[in-house]
Amino acid sequence: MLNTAGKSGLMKRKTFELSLERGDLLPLLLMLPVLLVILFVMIIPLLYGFTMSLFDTGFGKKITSEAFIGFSNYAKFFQDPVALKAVFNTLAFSFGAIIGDLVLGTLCAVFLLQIPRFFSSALRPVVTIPLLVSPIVVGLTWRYIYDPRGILYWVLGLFGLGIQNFPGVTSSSTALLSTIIAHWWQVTPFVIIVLTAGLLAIPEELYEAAKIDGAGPVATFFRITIPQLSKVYVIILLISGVDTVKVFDIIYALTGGGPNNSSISLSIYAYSNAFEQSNLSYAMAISFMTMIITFLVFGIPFVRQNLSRSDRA
Amino acid sequence: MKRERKAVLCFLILVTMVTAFGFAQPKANLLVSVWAGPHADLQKRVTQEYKKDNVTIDDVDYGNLKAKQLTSFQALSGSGNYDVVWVNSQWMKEYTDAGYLLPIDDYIKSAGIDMSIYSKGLLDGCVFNGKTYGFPTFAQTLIIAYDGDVFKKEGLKAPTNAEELVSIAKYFKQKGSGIALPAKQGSGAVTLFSQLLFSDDGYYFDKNGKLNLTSKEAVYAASIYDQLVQNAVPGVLAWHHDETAEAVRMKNAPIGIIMSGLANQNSDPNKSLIVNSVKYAPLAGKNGKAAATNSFWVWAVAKNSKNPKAAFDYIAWMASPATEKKQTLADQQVSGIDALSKDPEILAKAPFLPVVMEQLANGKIDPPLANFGKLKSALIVSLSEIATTDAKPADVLAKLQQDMAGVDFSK
Repeated sequence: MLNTAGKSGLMKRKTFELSLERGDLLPLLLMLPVLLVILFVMIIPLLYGFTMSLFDTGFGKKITSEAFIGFSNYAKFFQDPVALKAVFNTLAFSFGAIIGDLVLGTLCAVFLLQIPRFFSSALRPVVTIPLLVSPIVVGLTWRYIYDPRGILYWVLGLFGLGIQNFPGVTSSSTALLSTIIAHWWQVTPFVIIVLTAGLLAIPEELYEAAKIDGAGPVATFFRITIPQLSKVYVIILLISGVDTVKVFDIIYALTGGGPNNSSISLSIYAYSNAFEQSNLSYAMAISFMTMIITFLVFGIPFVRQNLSRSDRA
Repeated sequence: MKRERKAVLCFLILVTMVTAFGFAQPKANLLVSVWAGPHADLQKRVTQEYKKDNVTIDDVDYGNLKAKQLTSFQALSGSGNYDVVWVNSQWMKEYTDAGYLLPIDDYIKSAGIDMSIYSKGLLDGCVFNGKTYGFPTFAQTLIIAYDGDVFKKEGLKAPTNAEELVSIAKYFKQKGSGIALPAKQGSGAVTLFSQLLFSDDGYYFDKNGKLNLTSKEAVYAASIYDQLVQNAVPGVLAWHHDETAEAVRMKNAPIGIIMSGLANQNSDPNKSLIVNSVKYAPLAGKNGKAAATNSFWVWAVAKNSKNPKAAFDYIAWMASPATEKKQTLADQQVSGIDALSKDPEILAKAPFLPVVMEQLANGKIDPPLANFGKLKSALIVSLSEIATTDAKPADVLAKLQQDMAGVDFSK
């Protein structure tokens, strides 16, 4: 009897804990719209895409049990020389682009803080202009820059150089580099903005102390500025990393992945399979592999850093 | 009596109003998908004259057009999906196989349209399994455009076969320029290759339907393509059709292989420096025969259209002789209607038309096979390899043939 009363008391407490009157469900209700958006806009399409990659399907084809091919698209990916070339190109583009973004961004951000305020105020809006341009327009703009009659070869001509010295987008050896340069032009302003905010947050006392200790500008830059910016660099690395692994527009507009697939990226290869070869399930597998590579290269270091930070806390 | 008269009058007014407003067919709203460009601007202008229904044209750049059409075909009827689609002839097989397009034979029959006015070669690309899926229009082919003044000055004659074309390209290359052609990794290079192949009576497949990229015609076509690229103006490896046509128009190349759909700009004084000197020649093969890769566009009705009859009426109007002539005169489009190519008024406006029609008459269409897209994508890369490396065309094609061995080209 007592036992039963105890059970019912426990049940009562449970019911009481989830009472709407006390607002216990309020956090869940407030989060519900976001959770639904995440579910329908992110998770369900992702699972649907993954499911498609396991079936031999395409536009207008129904997913049937006969069309189930398991992980054969993923196995094919590792045996497909174009796919492997696309992985290499994507990673090369990503690392080249990020390194350039960080180096150029840091130099420009420091330079803009060093020059008189009047000049920096005038220059800062100017350097951010490329950020406002869509990547496909950047690609088209640079197509004219790289044209033999474009500004690049006009400038090179002043130094007695020409297309034979730097073939740009017309050669397998320089096509990928040419797309990376176009990316630098567009994304460096973003890095400048973020790093400027980081630079302004460094306590002035650190520089004063360094000056008293007799540190020169180079030592100050490498021993104070760079370490103080490390957290900002991680954020930039994550954002740019994810962005560059997905690269499509600039390469598509500039080279179309050529010459001879020398600049083909994973996104372009997935697009080609989906819309030019009507091989949607393989395109889905390529897209999933892109996601996994992004996570392995940029996601894991970020997660590890977060974990070590929470351990310290 | 007066009251009766008033009643009759009121009744008549009521009947008139009901007839005029109540039973009048409401206008349908049609959404039309077309490829963006000068032709789309013209289509919009011409469509303003179509009063039967409300038509909205959505012009999309070529790179995104197919993807957007495919997305629309998946949508529910009446959910803002396309009613009419302007389809590249090379996508027709895929679209009809997937059931995205509406067969229009019944509509054609009830409208009493004579389909024999359309070029047979093009119309064949609109018929699948005995059913007609659209009206052909806007045929395109690669032709040779050259600066007649430069040729006269240099004492040169228009090339009449592939060897002569290579010789002329070499001549100009030695003089510091060269030929302009679409050699960027993309479909433009494949069109050029296939046109050279078709001109020599070659094809992708042999009589038994087996892939035949190692035929002497295919190797010859690839070798001519290679030689043309080696003797081209600098930069062609990054050029598609637009840049090639521009190079000829702006006198950066004295000769070029351009898409006929862009030839009208040669006579536009705002865009061209060769208005009075431009001349045209067929892009011929080894023996002087010129054949097109019959690439054209098709006005078709989307199967998920909410207003299929209204959509058919619109495409029938757009592809009618009167509307086609209007567009040809305005923009020198090459119509799918045979008779228009002999119209003196049109010939005066489009001097390149005889060359185009000669090539279209000998032309072939790309095979409507489910896996042709796979072959084409691989061919794009192989031609880029031929153009950018020292690899021999015969070896590259042999490797491609080997790589494609496992692909099913039977359906």
